[in-house]
Amino acid sequence: MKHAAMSDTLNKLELEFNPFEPAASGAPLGSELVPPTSLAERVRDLLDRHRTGPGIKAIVVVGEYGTGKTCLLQWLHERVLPKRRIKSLYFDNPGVQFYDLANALLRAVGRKDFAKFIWEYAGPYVEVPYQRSLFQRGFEEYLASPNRSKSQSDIAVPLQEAVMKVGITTDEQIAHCLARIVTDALRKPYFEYRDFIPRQSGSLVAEAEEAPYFGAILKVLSQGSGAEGMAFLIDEFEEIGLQKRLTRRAAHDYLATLKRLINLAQNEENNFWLVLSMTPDAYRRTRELEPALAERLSGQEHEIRIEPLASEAALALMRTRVDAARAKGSGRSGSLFPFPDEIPFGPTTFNNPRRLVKACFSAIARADHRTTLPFTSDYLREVESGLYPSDGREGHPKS
Amino acid sequence: MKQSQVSRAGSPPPSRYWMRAVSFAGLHRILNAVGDTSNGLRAKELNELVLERRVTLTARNPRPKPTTLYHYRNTLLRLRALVRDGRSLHTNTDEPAVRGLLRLPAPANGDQSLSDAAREHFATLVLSNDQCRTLFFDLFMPSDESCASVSDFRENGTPVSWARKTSSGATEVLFENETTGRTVRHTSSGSVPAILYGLRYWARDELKLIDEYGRGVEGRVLMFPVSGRHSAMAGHDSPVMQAVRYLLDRRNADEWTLFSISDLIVDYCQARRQPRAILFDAIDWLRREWPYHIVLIPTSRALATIAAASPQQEILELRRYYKSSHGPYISHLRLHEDAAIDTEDETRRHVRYAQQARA
Repeated sequence: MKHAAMSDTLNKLELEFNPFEPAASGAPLGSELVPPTSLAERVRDLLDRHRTGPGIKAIVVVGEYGTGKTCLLQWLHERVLPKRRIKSLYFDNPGVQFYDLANALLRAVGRKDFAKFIWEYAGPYVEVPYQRSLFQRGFEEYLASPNRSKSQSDIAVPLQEAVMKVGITTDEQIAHCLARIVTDALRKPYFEYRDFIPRQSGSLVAEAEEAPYFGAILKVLSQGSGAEGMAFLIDEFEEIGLQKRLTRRAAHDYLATLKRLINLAQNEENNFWLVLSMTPDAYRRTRELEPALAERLSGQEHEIRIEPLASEAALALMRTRVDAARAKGSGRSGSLFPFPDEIPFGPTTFNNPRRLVKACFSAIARADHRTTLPFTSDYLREVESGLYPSDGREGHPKS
Repeated sequence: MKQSQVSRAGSPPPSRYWMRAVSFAGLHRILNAVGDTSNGLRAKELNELVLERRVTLTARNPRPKPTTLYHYRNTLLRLRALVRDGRSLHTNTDEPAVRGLLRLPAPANGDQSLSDAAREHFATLVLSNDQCRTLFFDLFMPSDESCASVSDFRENGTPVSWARKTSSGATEVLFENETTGRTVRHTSSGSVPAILYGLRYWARDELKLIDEYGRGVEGRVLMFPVSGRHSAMAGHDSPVMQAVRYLLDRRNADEWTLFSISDLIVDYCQARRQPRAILFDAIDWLRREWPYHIVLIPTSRALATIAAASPQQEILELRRYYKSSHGPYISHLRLHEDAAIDTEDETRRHVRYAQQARA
């Protein structure tokens, strides 16, 4: 019954669904994800500049909560980087340790698939004739082979040499680690903390070798998937869990991880891209604490500051959303209907994508058969003040 | 950099370090209690009077212990608000600041706030004291000359930073005048609490002579002198409205202008000798009058205090941020071009904004 009433209201609004989300954060469902034109152009320009030029392939997206940092990162992830043959991985608040990133990365890929990448990439370069046929039969057959465990030790050394030969790494120990990932794939089909942390029993990583090891992992993933490069898109790196206080260790880890990532992005061999989103204060504090890091990342070539949504961009956002929800052949295409041509929201709502989307969602969700169309100014102001009372203007994260 | 002074355990007489974190509202209540007697009071009688009349000294402890009573009495004696005549304590009515205090009603029991007038009288007594000046207040002065008066301190004092360092179990506090480069180190168990939690606390929280904030790097904290008598002024030219005007005047030509609270504290509060409270009151005013034209940008508390090595340092670091009672810590604010001081124009206040859709 309720569903039928909602459907009637949507019919009256000439929409097939509510194109706005109640808790806007990131990309919308069912409509095209496009940042404002000027911002999109600036991002593309920076990507072009770093692709051909030397230096760190790192971009810091600075903006307050709700201005569209997540949306921009997801747009890069879904639409821009794949077209440039860059395999991108999106991390939302990944944690402060380098391990956290490696863990998130490899869990996303899976140990078996990662082992398969190494197998298929380095296999043809194994130089022991009787083992070559084993590689030619394929990874799945190797795993299913009854003699697999017996042949593990025989495979490890030639595979390690092949890993070096194909240029994944020049470090013998790292090559050995990667070979072990293949040979241990069935016994341990998952990654765990100790795989990445030195001084742990059974660790794959030698002390102080996490970054080169990580670089080798990136190379395997990039080349295994036929990509020209890899990109990490890290959203709200500063949010570091929900704890109120950072231990000194966590604070150290935060900066150390950031430094290692920047180093990776500076190494031209890796073709590794880093896009970090931060609030203005997080960016400032990081720069204060690590002036050397700031020097490498500051300036027009590495910073994108997200400004409040301009009026035209706000209207374009609304129009794109409502168009995506229009029935085919609707005569309303390109108009703001059921919204009026004049939007009476205050600037704090109108110029902030998250607030605007939430307010538009509420306006549509609260409408019923008595609501005057297009929405009146009084109705929209009532919706706005209900969502954002004038005594509490603090834009809380994810509010 | 000028030669640094060092105080070590045993070198100066310990009696120099008598300053404790006392409540000046409590001092005022005791002073007036003594002033009410015609022949003065012995120390024991004064203690009994405080307990009998339930005179509160601090908000925490309704029945002060003998040690607490001693420190309050001692502070009034050292500041020469009380004087001894034999074994009796009398109010020092030769001192104009004391006469001024006696003319004012003391804050009611439990009330820890001082009137601006009482605060200025106490500040005069503190700055007239040689030990208070040499141990703390003179360090703020731009030359080797001692601070002459409260107004001299407020008008001519310069910022001083301090940092605490602990090595091999010993604590050292280093003060440095940012203008003259003069440094003073305190290492003794007597001097550190007397200066850090006595004089600095008096100057910042009780007498409102200085304000301070954590700088975020190497645990340094910056203290700067502030002008006084803020609550006495109201209206269009009040310090709060001047701060509002400062914010509005510094907007750029864009629709929105971004301000960093931390920069505002340096550029407005420190440079114009205004306490942070004035800036924060100005932000409150804008939130009240232009709720849809100001955006407060919160920060991650964990990151805001990333450099703090102790809970005390965290509190000092967080003084660089604006915070309303239940809200998050605010690092930046965005101000719209339409916000103005003149709020009588109802059209601007309530219609707020209307966007013309373009084809």
